[in-house]
Amino acid sequence: MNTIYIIIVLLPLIGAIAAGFFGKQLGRIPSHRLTSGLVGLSFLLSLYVLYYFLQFDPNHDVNVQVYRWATIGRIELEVGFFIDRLTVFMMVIVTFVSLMVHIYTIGYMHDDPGYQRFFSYISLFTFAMLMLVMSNNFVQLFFGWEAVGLVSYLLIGFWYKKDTAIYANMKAFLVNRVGDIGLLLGIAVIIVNVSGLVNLRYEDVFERLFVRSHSYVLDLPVPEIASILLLIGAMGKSAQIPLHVWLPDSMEGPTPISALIHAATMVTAGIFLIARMSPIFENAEWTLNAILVIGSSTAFFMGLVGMVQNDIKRVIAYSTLSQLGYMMTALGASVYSAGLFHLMTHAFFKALLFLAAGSVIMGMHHEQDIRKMGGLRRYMPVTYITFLIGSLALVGFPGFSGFFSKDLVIEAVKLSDQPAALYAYVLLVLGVFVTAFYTFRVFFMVFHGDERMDDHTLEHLHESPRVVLIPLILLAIPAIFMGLYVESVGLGSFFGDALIMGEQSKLVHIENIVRTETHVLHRTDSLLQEDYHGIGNFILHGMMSLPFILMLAGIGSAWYLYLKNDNALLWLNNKLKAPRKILENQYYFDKFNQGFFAKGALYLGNSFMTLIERMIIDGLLVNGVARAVTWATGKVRLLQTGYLYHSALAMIVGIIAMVTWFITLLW
Amino acid sequence: MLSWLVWLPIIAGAGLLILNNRPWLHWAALGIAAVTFVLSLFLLLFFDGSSASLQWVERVNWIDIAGIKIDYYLGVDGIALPLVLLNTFITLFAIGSGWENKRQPAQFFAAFVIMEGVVNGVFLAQDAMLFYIFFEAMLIPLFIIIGVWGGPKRVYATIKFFLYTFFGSVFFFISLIYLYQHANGSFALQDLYRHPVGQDAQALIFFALLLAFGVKIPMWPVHTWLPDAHVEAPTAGSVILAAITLKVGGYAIIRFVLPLLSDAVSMYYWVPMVLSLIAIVYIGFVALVQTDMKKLIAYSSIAHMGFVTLGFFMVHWLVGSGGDADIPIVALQGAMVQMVSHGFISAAMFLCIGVLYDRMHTREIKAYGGVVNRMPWLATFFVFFAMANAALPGTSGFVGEFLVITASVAWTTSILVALTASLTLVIGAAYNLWLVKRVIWGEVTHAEVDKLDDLSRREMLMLGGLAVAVLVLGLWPAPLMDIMNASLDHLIQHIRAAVELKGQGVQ
Repeated sequence: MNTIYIIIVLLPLIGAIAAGFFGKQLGRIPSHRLTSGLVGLSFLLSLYVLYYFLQFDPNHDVNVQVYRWATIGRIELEVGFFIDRLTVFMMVIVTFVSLMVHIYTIGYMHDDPGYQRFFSYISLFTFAMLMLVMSNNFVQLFFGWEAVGLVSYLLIGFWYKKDTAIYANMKAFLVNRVGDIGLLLGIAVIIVNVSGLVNLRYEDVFERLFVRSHSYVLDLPVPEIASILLLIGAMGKSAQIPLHVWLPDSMEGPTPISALIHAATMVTAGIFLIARMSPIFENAEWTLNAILVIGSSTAFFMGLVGMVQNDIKRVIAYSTLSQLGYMMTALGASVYSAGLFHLMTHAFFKALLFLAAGSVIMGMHHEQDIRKMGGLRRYMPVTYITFLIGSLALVGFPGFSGFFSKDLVIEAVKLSDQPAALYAYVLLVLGVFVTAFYTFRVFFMVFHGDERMDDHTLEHLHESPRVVLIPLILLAIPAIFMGLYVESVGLGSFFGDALIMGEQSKLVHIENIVRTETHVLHRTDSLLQEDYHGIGNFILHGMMSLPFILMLAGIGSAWYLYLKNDNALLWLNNKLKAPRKILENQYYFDKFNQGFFAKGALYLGNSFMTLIERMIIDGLLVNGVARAVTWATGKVRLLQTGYLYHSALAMIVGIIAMVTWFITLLW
Repeated sequence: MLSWLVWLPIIAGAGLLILNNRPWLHWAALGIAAVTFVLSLFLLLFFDGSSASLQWVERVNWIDIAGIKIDYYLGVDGIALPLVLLNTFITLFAIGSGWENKRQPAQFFAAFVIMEGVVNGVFLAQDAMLFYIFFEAMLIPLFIIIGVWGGPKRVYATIKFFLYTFFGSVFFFISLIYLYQHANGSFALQDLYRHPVGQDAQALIFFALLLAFGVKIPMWPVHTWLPDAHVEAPTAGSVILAAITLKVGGYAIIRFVLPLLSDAVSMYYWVPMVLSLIAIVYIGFVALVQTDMKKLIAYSSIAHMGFVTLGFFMVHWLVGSGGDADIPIVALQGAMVQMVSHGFISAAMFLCIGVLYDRMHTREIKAYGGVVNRMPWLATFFVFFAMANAALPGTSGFVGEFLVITASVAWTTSILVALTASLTLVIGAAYNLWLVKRVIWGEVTHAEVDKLDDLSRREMLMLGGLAVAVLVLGLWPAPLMDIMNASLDHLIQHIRAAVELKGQGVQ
């Protein structure tokens, strides 16, 4: 059985290497067959692993050591896999969405000269993402973390001739690196503070983390400081304010990767990280509150920006930011399962929305401005239906998957007793209106109303080929039905002890060993479980709550403004000029970063170069010492004749003096 | 065995001079380097990694006149072995990169082969004076390489280089004499270790050696010779300079400064540490604004060597602070791996730039853009090595920086050390990726770029070889670390004894 895990990881890598290095020899069709086939196999094996794990009790886990990475003193670092319910959950999502995107790409990238390269990259991404989620230790986690960042860099800049693309990919990598400082330091804090550590496996770390109650660093509690650093890492990858700036720009990449990397999988790595590290986060009150504030702020304020965007992909990108905020907030409320549940439903419906948007873009001849679309439902019926399904799931329409997960997140925050929970709750509830509004704004502008495109585009407008539509349909199914797992996945029984929840947690075991201080457990999840009375009840309850009304209001306003009454829209736009401007400039984050960090770095570099390097070190010290001695010996005139040789002479004089001084001091 | 590693290349290199301008000359040079490499592989094969003691010791009385006693004393341990291997490995690539050199080829190849032998001598010498002789002799081929086959401002660069190193060497020499007296007339390193000098003398010698070795590494602010030397040196010279010569400085610190001057290091560790942090951050910013590709990589070398010195000089503190006993070796391992890794990556970066320079005859970043359109293979390697240079996990560049940063987190007095060092994650990525963006990506904007041909088989082989080395060391550093573990542990025991003897912790 253990080899299966290794095979699951290696299959996509083999595909990536084959298509990447031998793409030309293989040709286009064999390349996509090979990569898609291998990822498909990986998906089937992941499903098998899921089936296998479902036969055990939820706490069953497996540790597979692949090889010893390094031994330093007594610390042993390894490459290996840790498989439990949480891992299996992520493996299935990653490989499934990846497979869908592989198939979709066959149609979407059909005419692209970099066809094989693209398949190689997305397979490589799948490998890296699997390494991340399946890792059993911190160093390998960081490897996967950075490797997905690398592939993201390569894919955003896939069309390397496009100036905006090669700017966006650099920006994405650098902003992610800011977060990585946090992750790396977090890992380092864990290493140096977990005394007697023999390896960096999660379980060992979690068990020993509380042996030393205060950190070496800053004398703060270890979990508090480690978790806040890990959170910074998660904020980079999962694009939380203020490290969110790279995600909207990442839309410069081809649409399939926006679906795979920048919606369904890579950006949720931060959510996964925090869930995986829940034993640490559960003991860090400050961090949990910080997560609540950051997550809910991202959820609401990034959603607002989505309301004024006109590029179909950018709207969905801001929506992704907002939804990542929802997941994050659930983690802050200590209901990790709700965050993961939303991660799962979001992976399906957001991948669906992106791929459907890609289908629209193909139909529109690579036009992405929704102001130039309209009435597409007549020409692209399948895309229309699937986009509608994705939209309904996204806004949380009762019965669709997003409804269950989003409601659960909101309920969780409502029940949380953290000080920041109220703030988070208000923003999340308001966010429901915002989500409904921007989603259906796009939906109405693209598929309904007047046909605003030019005649040429209109003439060629047609439904996308079958290879594009099949993944849409296959993604639409879970986007509708995955909500049914609200009880097992959403409320956490599926995950067993993988997430620190309730009173039967590992944390209690740890306390038995250590007993340094009593850890207050967050009871939010058990409250949530007490409130849950069957799925029908859940739906009914949801339909009587405030978020439901706000969602209907959001859809209604979008319908009224964009389909029914143009004048109201104009009037509103006029009234709200100032806030609109702020939103259109995305709160001026980009302008600030560009002006302060980018320009500042260059300014610093240039001043260092001219002032310190050239003037002080070379000018004053190296040549200046020479100059001074030359002057002292009364040979000022010779200076202009090229002072290098004189420097040499002067240096020798100087050296002799210094040497004499040195010798007298020493003896 | 060890003598072979030193003298085979030197003597055979001298033989090349006689062969003057035969058409198969470069094959002969490559053959010599290959044989030496194979010899060093035998060393690796039969090396006992579990032992910290010297192996394959050769010791004879060499000079014993007028009370001055110098031994011809060679030996190898876990600290020297990786660097010997790096040297013999990289020399293959240096010769490969100068393959088509037509100007005085005999002298050219001879210089590199002789250089290889002398550098092996530096790493293997166990007698301080013998070390000193090799240490200085190493400069001669290097001066010749830059001075003869260099660029237009080669004389300026050579003299600047010479002045800098000469300045340091003098103090090194005097210090050695003092240490020799103190050790009852022996230059053997193990004798020097056994007779620690007094505290005041240690302080003086500490700063003298810091200057001597700091120039070589180079540490800020005695680094300005390096960018000039790189810019003027031919590609092969840059490869050796970056990959090997800088390591000699780092090696000298771990051989002399750390074990010999425990008292002084315990007291003044903060001086080199601050300088290292300046190298990491400040030099990173300077690298960002370079307009010449070679200068950019030269500055990035300085920043990366900052991690080596940072790792080295925090060891005494870590030992003395009474913290986790496992942490000091993390710092040392990190610094050593960083040296080997930097050898691979900097060599590869200079080779990439050399490939472009051979075709375009300019190193100005502005003259490029959109190279990927014409040279997809070069672009692949360039991006890969730039990522390795930015310490991407999975490449060798990550291992050393990760370990040094980890150890620096154990620094209780201030998290600023770790925080400052970790800024390299962003700054390093910034200058590397911006370079990639301007050189590799984009549309072809210059007519010359449009005419570029992709890598030849020779170039492919070289870059591919280094890429494999970078990947292997990044994905599986265990073998390298296993070689060094015992020796580094021994060094830490030695430092611990010295620190405890002092009877007090660090202020």
